Amino acid sequence: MAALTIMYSSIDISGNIISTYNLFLTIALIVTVLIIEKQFIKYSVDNKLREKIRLLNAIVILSGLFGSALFEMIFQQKDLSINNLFTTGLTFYGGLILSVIVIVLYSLISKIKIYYLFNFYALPLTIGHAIGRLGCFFAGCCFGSPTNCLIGVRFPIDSVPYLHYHEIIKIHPTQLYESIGLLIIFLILRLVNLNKRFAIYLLSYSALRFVIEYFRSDSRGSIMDLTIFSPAQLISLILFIFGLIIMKKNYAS
Amino acid sequence: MTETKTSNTPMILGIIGFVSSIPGILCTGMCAGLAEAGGAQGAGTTFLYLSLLPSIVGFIFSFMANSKAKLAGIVLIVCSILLLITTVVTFNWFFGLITTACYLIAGILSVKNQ
Repeated sequence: MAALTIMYSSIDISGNIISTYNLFLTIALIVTVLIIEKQFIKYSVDNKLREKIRLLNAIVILSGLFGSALFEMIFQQKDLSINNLFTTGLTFYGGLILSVIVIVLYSLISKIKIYYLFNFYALPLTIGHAIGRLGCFFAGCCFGSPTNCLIGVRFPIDSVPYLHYHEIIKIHPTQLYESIGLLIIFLILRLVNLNKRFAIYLLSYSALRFVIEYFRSDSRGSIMDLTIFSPAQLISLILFIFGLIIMKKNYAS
Repeated sequence: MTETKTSNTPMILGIIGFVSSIPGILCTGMCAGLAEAGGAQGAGTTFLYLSLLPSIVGFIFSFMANSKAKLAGIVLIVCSILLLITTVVTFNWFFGLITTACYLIAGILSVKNQ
């Protein structure tokens, strides 16, 4: 793959800077809600349930963004202030964990089955995440370790990897690895019965993420000063176990 | 069972408006923080919440445009006006106008959709 030296981390419109990351985030959210709407039709969801899930969509998106920022601040040991909340990066697992908590609470209030909601969200979450990772690639965050392999990518001067390595070198495009992996998971989930989607998502994504973490070189943060695994790898292990439990429960029933 | 006519446009406009409001809120907070440093006490926090609250409320109600069309429409229009005020005051016109326009259009579509 030819070395990439032009990265559009932002788009300039008459002096107004639009972050490519925000642009891909917007596209990801739009695609996610449109796939949810398509699922309503495919699974003949009645109008009342649709409206409950639509409201939950808004709450889950907000909690996902808030959880992502919150966990990033905790892992990077930053002060928990409102200024940092708007300027910090995002950690996917933080958003996932808080969103899961929100979905559980909502299902208790609205009396919708928890696993129905988890299975319903598995597919749109996967494709939304895949698109969001492309935003990470353009922004230069979540970057990989140095490599001489054919698919290594050079990020330009003033990019986040350059500021980390202080030189232009070939690094693993871990954002693309994860995006492609998520796309494959999305295609697999499309073929799978709705009842099994969340379990398969947990198993496959946690495995994917665990492996990709070994190729990542940006600041991973820490939990309780553990160095053997990164926080994301620890969470991946926990989610993999959860996935196994849910899968076993699915087959038992 | 007859299908109720629905539109995803207010929801999509709500998403675009909300995401574009994030840099706007940042800018609003910073500009108001400067004003606070210049002697306008409490301005920073006030303007931050004045732009954050309608942004979030408008976003949530854009997802309710099909079930509670009239209410969602009115709330979206009110939020767009509030965001326009904070935009003008803090000279954060670009992102603020995108959010204002998105919420306003979503609000009008929602009211017409009832």
